[in-house]
Amino acid sequence: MNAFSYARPRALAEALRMLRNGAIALAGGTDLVGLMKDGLARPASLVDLTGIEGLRGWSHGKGRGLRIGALTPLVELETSDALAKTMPILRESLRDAATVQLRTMGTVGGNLLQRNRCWYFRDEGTVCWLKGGSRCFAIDGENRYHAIIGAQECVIVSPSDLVPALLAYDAEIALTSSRGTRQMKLADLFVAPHGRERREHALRPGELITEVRVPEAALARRGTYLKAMDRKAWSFALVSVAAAAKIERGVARDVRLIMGGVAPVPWRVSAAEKALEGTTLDDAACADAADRVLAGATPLRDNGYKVTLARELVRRALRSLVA
Amino acid sequence: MDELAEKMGVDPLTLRRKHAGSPKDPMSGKKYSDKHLLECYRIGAAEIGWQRRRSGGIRGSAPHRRRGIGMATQIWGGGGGPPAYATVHVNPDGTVVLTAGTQDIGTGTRTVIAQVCADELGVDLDAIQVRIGDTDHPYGPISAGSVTTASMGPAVRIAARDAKEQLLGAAAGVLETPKAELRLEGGVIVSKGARTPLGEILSKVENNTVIGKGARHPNDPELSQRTFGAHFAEVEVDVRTGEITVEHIVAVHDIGRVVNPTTARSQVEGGVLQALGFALSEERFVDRATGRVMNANLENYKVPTVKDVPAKITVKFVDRPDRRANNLGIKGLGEPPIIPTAAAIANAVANATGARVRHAPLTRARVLEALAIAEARS
Repeated sequence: MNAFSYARPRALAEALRMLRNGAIALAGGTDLVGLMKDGLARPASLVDLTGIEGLRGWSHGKGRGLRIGALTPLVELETSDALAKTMPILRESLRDAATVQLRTMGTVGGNLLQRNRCWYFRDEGTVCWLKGGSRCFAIDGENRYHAIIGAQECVIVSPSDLVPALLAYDAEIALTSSRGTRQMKLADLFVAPHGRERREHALRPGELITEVRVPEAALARRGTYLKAMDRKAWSFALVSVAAAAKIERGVARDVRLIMGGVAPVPWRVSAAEKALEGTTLDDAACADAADRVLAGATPLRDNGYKVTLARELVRRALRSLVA
Repeated sequence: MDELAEKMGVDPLTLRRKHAGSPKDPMSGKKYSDKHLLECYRIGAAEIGWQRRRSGGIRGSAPHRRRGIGMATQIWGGGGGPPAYATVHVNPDGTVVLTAGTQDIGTGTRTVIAQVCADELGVDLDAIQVRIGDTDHPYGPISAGSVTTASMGPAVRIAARDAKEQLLGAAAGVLETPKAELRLEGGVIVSKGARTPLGEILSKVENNTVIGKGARHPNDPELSQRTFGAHFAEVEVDVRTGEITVEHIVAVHDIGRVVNPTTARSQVEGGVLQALGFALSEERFVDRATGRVMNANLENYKVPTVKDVPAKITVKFVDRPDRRANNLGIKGLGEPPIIPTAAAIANAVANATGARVRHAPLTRARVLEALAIAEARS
């Protein structure tokens, strides 16, 4: 690990000033410290956000939607019984995320910004395309865990369990920097690396996620999160599916279908969601949605099984909404 | 074996039973020192409920889940042998120091050799201090090849007997009683109507530390010393996602006399769990172009977690001393528990689904591929 300076300011303004000057934000550190130890991140200065008041915890004002502070530990979302009533998919998605130790240290903001798990990317000695090299080694290499859809020069997959769940509820994020604040759809945070965009997140330099917001209307949806792993705990998703919909007299409205582990970004195909609108989420509708969400999938040598898995998880997730 | 049985239309356990009873080692043509493999099958089949097994599997807990039962056999060495040495010092205060160059890497060697020493010598286990893990000590075998207990145990017994004979000889002189009328029990010399603590005897002899020495005796070259065992697995398979859940493992072994039931059971449970990773998730990925190992870490080299552990692991032993193997009738249990587990699980998966996976580990990718092949065939 390289030498770096470290500061733990109490005020947000002070943190933002440091970020403007090139410091890297440290929250739970469950991804960043690993990247530093592996020589993949070499920040000259770190600004530890954990001393800042007001970015931790969540609130649900009746009719005003759900607000989750970016520094809230994942375990808090998982274990809160009140939140499990407001938005049960959060507990469902976090239950199988990493380990309880990592969920205790890891924060919501950090989870959204975690980097991909491609083993070529994570190997310090491999200068892959995403790290400025000339080619992706996974495309014709060891690609059991890689993307089956939506990838261009780089076949990483979106690793988060929380993100598909939040996207199924139309989450937005609040951003702040020394220049001001803005709000954006959470979906717009994620970038499929391509061309000059050799990055995974659309955060601007010096910018900080301060809050995740879920609109009140979305909280009326039923939702579920399913995850396939290659052991029963402590694994990133081979394939995951978050599905949500408002069920009115057995008919689905506002359907959302987001997949993790299959594409460089959380994978969502609006044509698939639209086709489900007004259906009873019967087997035929589910199969059709799976066809649409996976249309154009191009599995690599070792990851064709993900297509089979994805189809089944889509079916199960949608069926469970009307079960 | 299961595929052969299936082609013949015979129950796979029946096929094995027909051929597993031979008292002769087909590799060497020698007779086994002892063999209770059929007894392992009998116990295992009863514990797993083999009679519930149906060709083509049985219904699982949901429509898309199938249940299956499978088994596999292990035949392994584990007879141990020379060279292995031990010394037993009996101190004037009646305490005992057992010294050997062997090691305890978590298999329970320390406990087991102390038990052998205490039992043979006639002192309490508490009185024994075990000194191992030092190459300055009398030579002991490496902790490998399932040889430690069956090599060290007999040497320790001989050393303890040597020390005991010396002690009884000294006691005979001090107590003016024929040696044949004396016993050593719980650290006390017992003669007709009298009990004399060991320390009292030793304080009256000039050379008051007694040193017993033992060397492992050779094995009978006319016999084949082997361990036998069978593992039975019950699994549930999600036939649409390829997920395998191991519900129950029954492990039955014939290792001669069981010296310590707790450490023996623990060794079997550990072997089963290690083999669970071998069966289901542990795999090394090497980049074919560069030779780099892509998953030299605990993130992607997937050892089983607590959630992967079967709901039930049943461990049984035949527990009959193999009197022709060595002076204790014991055999090793290092590797036997890891040998048949993966095969038993793969056979159970094949029974549940009709899908035969021939490569470990049985990942989602391999299981889904095998299921697709099985479905295309039917």
